Amino acid sequence: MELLKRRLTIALSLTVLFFAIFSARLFYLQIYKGEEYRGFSERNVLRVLDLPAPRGRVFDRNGEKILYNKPSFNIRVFPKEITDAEGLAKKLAEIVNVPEKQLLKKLRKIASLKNFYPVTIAKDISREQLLLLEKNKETLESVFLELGHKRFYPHGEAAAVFLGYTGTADPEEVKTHRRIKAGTQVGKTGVEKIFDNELRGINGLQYIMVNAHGKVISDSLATLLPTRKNREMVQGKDIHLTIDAELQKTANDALGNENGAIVVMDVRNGEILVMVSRPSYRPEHISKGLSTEKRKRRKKKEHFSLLNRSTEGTYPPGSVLKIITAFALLQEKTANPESSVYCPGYYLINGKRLNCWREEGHGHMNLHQAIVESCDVYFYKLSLKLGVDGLYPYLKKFGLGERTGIALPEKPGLSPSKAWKRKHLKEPWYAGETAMLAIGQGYVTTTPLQVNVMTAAIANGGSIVKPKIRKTEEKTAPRITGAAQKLDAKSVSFLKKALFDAVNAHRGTGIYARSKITSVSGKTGTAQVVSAQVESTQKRFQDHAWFTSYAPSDSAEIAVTVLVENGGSGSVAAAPIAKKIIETHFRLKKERGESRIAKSE
Amino acid sequence: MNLELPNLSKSSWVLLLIVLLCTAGLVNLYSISQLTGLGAFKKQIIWVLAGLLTMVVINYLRPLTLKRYSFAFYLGLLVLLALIFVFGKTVSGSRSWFQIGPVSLQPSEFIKIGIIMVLANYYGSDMAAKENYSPAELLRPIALLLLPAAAVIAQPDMGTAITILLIGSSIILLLGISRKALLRIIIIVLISVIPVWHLLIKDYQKERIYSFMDTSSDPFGISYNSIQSQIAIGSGMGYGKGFSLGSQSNLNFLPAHHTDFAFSVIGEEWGFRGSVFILLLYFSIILFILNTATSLDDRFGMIACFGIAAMFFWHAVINIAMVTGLMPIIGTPLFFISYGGSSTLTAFIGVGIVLCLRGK
Repeated sequence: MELLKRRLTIALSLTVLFFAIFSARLFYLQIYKGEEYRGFSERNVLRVLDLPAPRGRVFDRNGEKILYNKPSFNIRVFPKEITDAEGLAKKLAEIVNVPEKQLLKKLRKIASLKNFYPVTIAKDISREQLLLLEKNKETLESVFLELGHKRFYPHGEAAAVFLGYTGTADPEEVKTHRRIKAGTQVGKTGVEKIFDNELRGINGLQYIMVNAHGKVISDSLATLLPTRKNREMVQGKDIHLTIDAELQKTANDALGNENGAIVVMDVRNGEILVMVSRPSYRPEHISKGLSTEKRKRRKKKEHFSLLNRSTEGTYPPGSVLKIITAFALLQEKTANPESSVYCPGYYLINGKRLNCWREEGHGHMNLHQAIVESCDVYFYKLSLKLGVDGLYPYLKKFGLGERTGIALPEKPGLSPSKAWKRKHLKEPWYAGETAMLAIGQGYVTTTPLQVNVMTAAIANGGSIVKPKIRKTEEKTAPRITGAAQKLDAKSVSFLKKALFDAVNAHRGTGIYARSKITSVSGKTGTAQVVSAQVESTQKRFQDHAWFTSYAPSDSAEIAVTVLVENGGSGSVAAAPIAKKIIETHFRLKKERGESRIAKSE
Repeated sequence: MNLELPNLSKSSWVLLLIVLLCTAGLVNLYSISQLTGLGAFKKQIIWVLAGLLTMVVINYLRPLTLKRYSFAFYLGLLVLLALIFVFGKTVSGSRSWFQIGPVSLQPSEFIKIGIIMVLANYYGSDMAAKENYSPAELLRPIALLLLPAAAVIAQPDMGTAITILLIGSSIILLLGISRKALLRIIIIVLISVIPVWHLLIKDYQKERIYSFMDTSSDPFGISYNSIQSQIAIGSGMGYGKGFSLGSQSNLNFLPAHHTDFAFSVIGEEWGFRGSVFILLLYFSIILFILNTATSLDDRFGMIACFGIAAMFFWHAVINIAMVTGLMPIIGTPLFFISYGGSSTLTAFIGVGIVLCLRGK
């Protein structure tokens, strides 16, 4: 008992001590600093300015700036400074080109905010607007200009989809990320989004005091609130990509007015040199401000131009898939290079007629010829022997139906199997569907990037590489991703010969990609959009044109995949585009090599 | 040190203190009613009356009755805390409330009394008297404390959970704890800090702690509250701006000014004079209760009184440190001053128990 009483005495003294501490604190706040705080509250002088940090720049593989900042002026206002919303709306309306009523509504809403942070009224105003504002300076006392940074895309539409754009953070983003505050500019799509954490930087913070007329009288609160410090802004980090800006531009131009996607990758290490997606958009239009809703609407539109078709667009691969079918036939010993099939131009399965693309037939074909001339009947017949469950593991082996692992939003596409169909369509698998799958039709869909990775695997001698878009410091040696992914060398070299002849032999389907500058190998594909033969001249019912290729044929450096949406035949619509890109790549390589030598001399 | 305060020897003194504090709280609510309306003011009058009544009733109970029913009281509240996850109402992110008609109650406030009583009962018998307690002997009381604390953390209501843990720890410290046990507890707490930080502390709570440590890190909302509260109090100066003239409070710069930041309003409108007066009233109540504890002859009463003193003490310390910018923002009401039914009732029950134990 006595012990407890002793301890209670300690509690008594602690109570007295805390009373003293708090009294002292109140004395400090109310008596010692009281006058300053009184001034503070009476004049409502506290304002907090956020100083937007410039986002990091983005460079291509050759050190060219492909995304950077230009200064911009934003009109801002402190909610507390809006004393005469009507007057302000009237004066501002003609400057910012917004209907007066709409502006008034906005200003009233801002004025109702009871805080000390400025709100942006108009973003990135033009020179003329700036001059007008300066001229009316006296009557527009309450608003002020903020020197901001707007994103600038020197290559415009050519790389817009890939690079993505920025916008004001959504409430959702503000909630989930500690570093993102209301009003922060964040990456919304593409590279801007993927590397947002590095590109973003940290906004600065400035506490300012203003007098009764809203004029700044001191930019530091150091004397009043010693714990409040201004914060320096931290510029975003620069990012170096593997993209070749000039080649990207060439590829974009080569597509002309068509929609589609182009992927170029270094087959030795997976570095993406080109990633084109069309239709594109004008980045400057979007970065001026696109609400979440508008973005959603745009994505839904038929020509959803925000979608990166290289990684998010899924298409039937058509005959380019024959590369995998042939590989599977060889591996499973369903066929050997000498296996011969007679093609009369069609094939009957259970009385149902499946046509070869060449109506008059190819005659006797072996596997090599079947790839070179893209004979459908050959693959119909032998794939039935192989069966869908014989083919499916090879689709997986080449990475179809799964994300490649690139650091961009990506769709997996679809590799069908018996199990898949049972599970999702609750139907058994039909033999005819195996034949369709063998030529890349039916349920199977792929992204252009997946087709490119598959092509690169043949080109580099059998390695599935993981595509990457960010340049790393270490010397990029050919990366072999484990023995399991190493494809059988004998079959690969057989396919390499076939793909060379598909471009260079007399009856090859890819002859329009033949080049005098370098040796090209490749495979065409013409993927039907509608299964029935719709007699229609309408563009959207036309076939998708594929051409996937690599060069040089014997010691490949790059793989080029071209998809032209509703472009018609792969050999006519897609192959010439690939040729142009390949030739430009080697021309650029030579020029750059020469200039480097010239420099070093 | 022997603090015999003769003036406080009569129960009527503490009644006077409480009436003064409640009046100040009501005046304060009235003074900010131009912004929020008189709803809170009127409701608080009812709560205060209900509280006074409860206090008087408890005052007339026999101390033995309190002791006998302490465990049942605790258990009942524990069940209510569990039921909250089924029937509870969520207010600003925490599932802490039961809504019964127009009345909403927060069992996590009442459980403070439950814990105090159950711990007092557990250690109350003279046979349990010891100089220090070993780790094994502390296991059960710690479990009695952690069970409700965990339920409150899960709501999640960190502010209440922290006060619960502080009250319980104070009682355990009063009873004495061997050095070995203290060391073990410290080690366990240190080890569990990292998982607790990652799993239990919500992002917005981390924000608050960050923003307190680096006051310039977040202007948009969090340390903003702290700075506004300091401006409000500081601008009150010596004599205050006068009744309902607090510009900070009435222009809505102050957040939650009728609950957690009620003391800031007093600071602004009544100045140093007023706020120190409230502080004095408040700490006098604590001293009165502690004084009662020392004057009692049985362990149960002593521990219970001390627990209730600890409850008032920690509420005052956290709330005032928070509004004067000495601590991060942790939502904790100031008894009798802040608006709130559950906390007001809890405070009255606490005083009622003290009066009951003190005897007439």
